[in-house]
Amino acid sequence: MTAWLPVGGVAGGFAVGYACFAFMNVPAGVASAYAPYLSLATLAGLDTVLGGVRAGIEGRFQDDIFVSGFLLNTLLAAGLAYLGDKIGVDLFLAAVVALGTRVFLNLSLIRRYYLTKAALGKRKEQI
Amino acid sequence: MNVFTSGSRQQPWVWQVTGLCFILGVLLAGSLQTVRNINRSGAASLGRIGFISPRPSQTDVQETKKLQDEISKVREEKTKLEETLAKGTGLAKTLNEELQKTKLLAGLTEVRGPGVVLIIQDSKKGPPSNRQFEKPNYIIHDYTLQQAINELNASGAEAISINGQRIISRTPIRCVGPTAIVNDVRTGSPFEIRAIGDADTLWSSLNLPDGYIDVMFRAYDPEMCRIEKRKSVVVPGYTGSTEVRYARPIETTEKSGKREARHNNEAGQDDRKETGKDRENP
Repeated sequence: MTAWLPVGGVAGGFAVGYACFAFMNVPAGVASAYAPYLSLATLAGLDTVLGGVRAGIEGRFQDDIFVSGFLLNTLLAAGLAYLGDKIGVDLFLAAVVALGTRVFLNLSLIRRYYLTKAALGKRKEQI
Repeated sequence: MNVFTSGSRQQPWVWQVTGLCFILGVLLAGSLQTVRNINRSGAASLGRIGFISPRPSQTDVQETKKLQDEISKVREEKTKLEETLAKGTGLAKTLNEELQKTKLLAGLTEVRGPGVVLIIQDSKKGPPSNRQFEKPNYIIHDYTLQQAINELNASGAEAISINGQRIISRTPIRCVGPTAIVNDVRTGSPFEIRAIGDADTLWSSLNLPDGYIDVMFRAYDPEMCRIEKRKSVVVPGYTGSTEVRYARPIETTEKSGKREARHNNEAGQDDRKETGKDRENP
C-alpha cells in the first residue's frame, strides 16, 4: 500500500493548491510575470520526486541529499530564469533541458527496475 | 507485497517522497491555475505576446505612459509660458494667438468638443463554421483603422485619436501581428476612436448605407462596432516627436518661378531661421 502514498500526496497537494490559487485570484499581469518560475519549480519538484524514488529503489536514499537537492535545484532554476530575463537570453531553457533529461532518465531506471522484478517473479513461479 | 522493500533503509523515504509529492501537487495546481487565469482575463491577445517575448513588459508600458504624460505636461506649461510672455505688447499678443492656432491645427494641444466615439473590436464569435476562410474579415486590421480615419476626416473631423494617440498629419497606422502601431505606440483591440466635429455629420457619414460600418462590420458581425454621438469628447494632444529634419519652408520672395534653381542650391543656410520653432526636439 505504501507504494501509492506519493500518488496520494500529489493528489492531496493538487487539491489544496487548486483551492488556494482559486481563492487568491492573482491579477493577470502579475500572473504572467511569475508563471515561468512556477512552471520551473514544478519541473524541479518532479525531477526530485522521481530521483528520490529511484534512489529509494536502489537503496541509496538519503534524506538530507533529497531535501537539499530539491531546494537548490528550484533556486538555481529560478535564478537562471531571472538572470536570463535580465540579460535577454532564454537561460531558463537550460534548466528545462537539464531537468527534463533527468526526469526521463530517472523514469526509465524506475521502469527498468519494475520490469526486471516482474520478469524475475515470473521465472520464480515457473521454477 | 510491498514493492518498496528492496532498499536497505526501508520505510522512511516513502514518507519523505510523499511529503515532496504534496508540494509538487501544490505547484502543479498553481501553474495550472495561473495559466488559466492568464488565458481567461482580457489580456488574451497582448498576454500571449508577453509570454513569447517578455521584452515589452508591463513596466515598459507603464514607463512609456509616464513619459508621454510628462511630455504633455511640459507642452502645456510651454503654452502657459508663451501666454504670459505675450501679455505685454500688441504685436506679441497677435503672434501668440497665431502660434496657438497653429498648435491647435497641428494637434499638439488637448482639445474638447462635440463629436462621436467609435469603438471597434475583434469579433468575439468569429465566422460561422462553414465560412472559416472569411476569418480575416472578423479581425480589426490596420486598414480598418485607416479607413475610419479617412472617413472621419472626409466628413469634417477636426481632431481624432485612437486609444489615446492623437492622429496628426504624420501619424502612421501599421499592423504588427495581432496589434496595431499608432504613432510608434502599440495598441490592441478594442480600439476607441474619438473624433471631434459635427456629431450628426460624423455619425451619418460612418453609417451611410454600404458605407464604412456596413462594409466593414455589419456584413460580418455587427457587434464588432459601436458608435455613439457625444456632446463633449476630449481628444488628447500629440505626445510624439516634433522634430523636422529635412523639410524647409520656401521663402516667399523666391516663390515665383525660381523653384528649380533653388533645388540646386544646396547651401540653404538662410532658411534655417524660419524653422526655429519646429526644431524644439533636437
